[in-house]
Amino acid sequence: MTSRRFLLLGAGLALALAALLVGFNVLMDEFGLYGLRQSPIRIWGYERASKFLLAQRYVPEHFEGLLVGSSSADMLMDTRRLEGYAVYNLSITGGNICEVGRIAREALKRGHIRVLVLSLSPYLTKDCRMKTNELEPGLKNAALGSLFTLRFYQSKLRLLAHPEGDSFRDSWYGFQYDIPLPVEQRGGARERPASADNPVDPEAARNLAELVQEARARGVRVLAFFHPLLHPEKNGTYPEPYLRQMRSLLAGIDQLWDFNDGTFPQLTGDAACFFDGAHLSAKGAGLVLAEIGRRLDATVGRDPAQAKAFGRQP
Amino acid sequence: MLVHSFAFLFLFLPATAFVYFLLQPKPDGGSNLAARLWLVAVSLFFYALSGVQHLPVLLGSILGNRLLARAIHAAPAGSRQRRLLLIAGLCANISLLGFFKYADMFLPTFGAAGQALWGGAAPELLRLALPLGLSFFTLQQIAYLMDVYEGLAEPLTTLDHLLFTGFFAQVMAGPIARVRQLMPQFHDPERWRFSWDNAARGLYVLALGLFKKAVLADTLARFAAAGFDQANQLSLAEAWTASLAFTLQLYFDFSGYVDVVTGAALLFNIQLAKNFDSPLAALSLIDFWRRWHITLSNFITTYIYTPLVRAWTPISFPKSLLAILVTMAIAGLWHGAAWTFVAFGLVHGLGLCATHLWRKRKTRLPAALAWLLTFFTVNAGFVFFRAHDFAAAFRVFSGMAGQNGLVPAGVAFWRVLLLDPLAFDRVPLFDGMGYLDTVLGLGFLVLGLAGALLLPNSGRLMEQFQPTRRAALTLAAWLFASLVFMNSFLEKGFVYRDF
Repeated sequence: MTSRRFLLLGAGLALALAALLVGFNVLMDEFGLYGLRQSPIRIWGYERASKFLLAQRYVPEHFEGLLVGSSSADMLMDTRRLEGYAVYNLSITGGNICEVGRIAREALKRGHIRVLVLSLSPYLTKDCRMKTNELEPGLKNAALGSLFTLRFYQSKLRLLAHPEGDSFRDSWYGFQYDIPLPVEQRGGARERPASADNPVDPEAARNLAELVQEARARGVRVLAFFHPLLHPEKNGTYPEPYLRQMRSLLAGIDQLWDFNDGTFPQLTGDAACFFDGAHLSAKGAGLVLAEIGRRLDATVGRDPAQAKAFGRQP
Repeated sequence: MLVHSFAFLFLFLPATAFVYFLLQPKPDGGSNLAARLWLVAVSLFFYALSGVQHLPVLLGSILGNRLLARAIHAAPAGSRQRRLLLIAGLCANISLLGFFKYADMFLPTFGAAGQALWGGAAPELLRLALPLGLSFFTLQQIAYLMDVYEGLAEPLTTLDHLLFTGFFAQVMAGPIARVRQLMPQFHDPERWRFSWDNAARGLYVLALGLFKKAVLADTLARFAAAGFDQANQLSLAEAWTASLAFTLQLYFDFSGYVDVVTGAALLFNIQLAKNFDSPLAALSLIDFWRRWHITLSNFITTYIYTPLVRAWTPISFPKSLLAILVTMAIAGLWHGAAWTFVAFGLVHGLGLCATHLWRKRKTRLPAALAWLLTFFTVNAGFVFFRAHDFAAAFRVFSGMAGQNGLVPAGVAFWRVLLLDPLAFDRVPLFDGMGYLDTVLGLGFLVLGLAGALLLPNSGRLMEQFQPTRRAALTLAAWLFASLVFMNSFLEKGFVYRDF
């Protein structure tokens, strides 16, 4: 074989294999990056990376609003229950504002989003650490064929084979049914004593302010609420310096309310509304979503044309 | 720009080679000035892409050494003036390196001494960014000045000096080139035409280097990071996994880089110096340093060890051992501005002294035992090399010595060996990696070690290269796997690039 032929065969074969891999991933379009998927897309694990990729095109093209927070806004917060609104839940388990903010900004870039709902809890702003290195533009290239896609398909196949462990089952709007906690860590509604410390990281605060600023600059209506706690009147609510700083950071947004101010006793006074000290049960999530719906009605109003999205999915 | 980035491989390299050969003179003769000018221009562009603010440092070093080389050459051989000029050159180069690399390491020590003597405020750290390749091109310049001083090389023209020091294939992390070896190749008309044979051989070794770096080193890096940077306590199995992972990561990372740039240079018909020769298979530390970072070994032997020994005449065996210790401590410090690097050098220095002492006994160790001793010493040295401080190093050593049990509490060792996902979940070292990555990493650890010991190295493969169908399939497999892995991780620099 001549050297020339060797080069053409070796390099050509490698490039052909790479093209096949890319072609397969484009055709599958698991994250709606290429606009080839006509059906709704659900998450199959790797929540951070998946939501980052979905936020590139799929979410802004099919939804009008975003719900952003950490796990307390992720678990069971099924935004399909916001009748007449197509709100995608971009919250991530274990996510801080720097992580979820980066994902939300990707969705805002497209310009089709008209409402941003922020779920505030100290966890969201206690640090600004990126827990994975995935939330980078390079991830879009990785979706063309990489170890990431290999891991993704492995996760998908595993969940298809063992649906009992699928916390994203039926999760067309981005929420999680359940956080897969080890059994020994599960408990009933725990009451958490309030802390006097202000847990806001300056970098996280800056990120939150920037996200709100960017949203408002794009004409997006911004709503925010302090996540409910169990028996705040007895255990205390979030630290006063935290509440003050958040109110100051979010001054001027369309709606800001606190579920712990005593006006939601059916929620904060009922242990059945909580999964544990931080996360809501289905009942609690329903009450929170109902209130979000009311606030949306008062702020943006239902727009059937905008809200078509995918409607209710099976 | 990194040499294992898509931009380098698919844009920079082919475009540079295409124009380079386009600018070469016709076969009937002429100068290849235009082609060399092009190579200098793209090399400086390549360097500037990694930090344009450091371009003046590179250019200043080149200009300064060019002037010094001319002055040394003009001074009469053996004269005091020639010697003083050389000393000035050495001092200037070492000062440049010292200023950027070691100022913050020594400032606190000298600052504290100054405070104790004269009072006043403690000096603030300079926190200077290290110019890319400074440690490498400074050594190259020193070797060049020495060659000119000894009459072994003529001063280069400005253009050639720019090419000698700034050639993109080696400016980042070597190999440390000697002027007599590198520069005649650019002036050899035989090398001015594109060669399919060299391109085939070059791409073959480049693909192997990519595979080593992107597939093996970057995968193993996660174990090393978890063990050295995150874990508070390591069991014996975890500590050995982390330390072996780093040893292999470093080898595949650096030798992979050298393979990539060697292959890239071959596309231009330029043969770079050999830098590795299966070092992990070495049977003694003396053997190891003949096979690991060969161009650095040659430099420190020629320009540090030998002058030290000569300075201490009459030489004795204990003095030669002391010279080894001093040389290796300096070699360790060259790698990084931290005392852990000095410890790395001293581990090797002590090991080399022990090897020389053993050799005096004229008793040969069995090969397997010799290899095991050498490998353990090398591995131990790399623990200091990787650890951010001594506490981290001793945490790893403590785990390697079994101070924290064979495996983490509550984990059955046999279940880990059987790749049980539930067992993996309970091993802190694998935390957050995911099953697939953990299995890949463990597989690469075992196969990588076996490959580094048993398979022919890239130098051998290059020598024996034949453009066969099997070689083409191997090339395709290396390239395809590398492309997939390159697309998987965020771009990471080479370990030695930071030096």
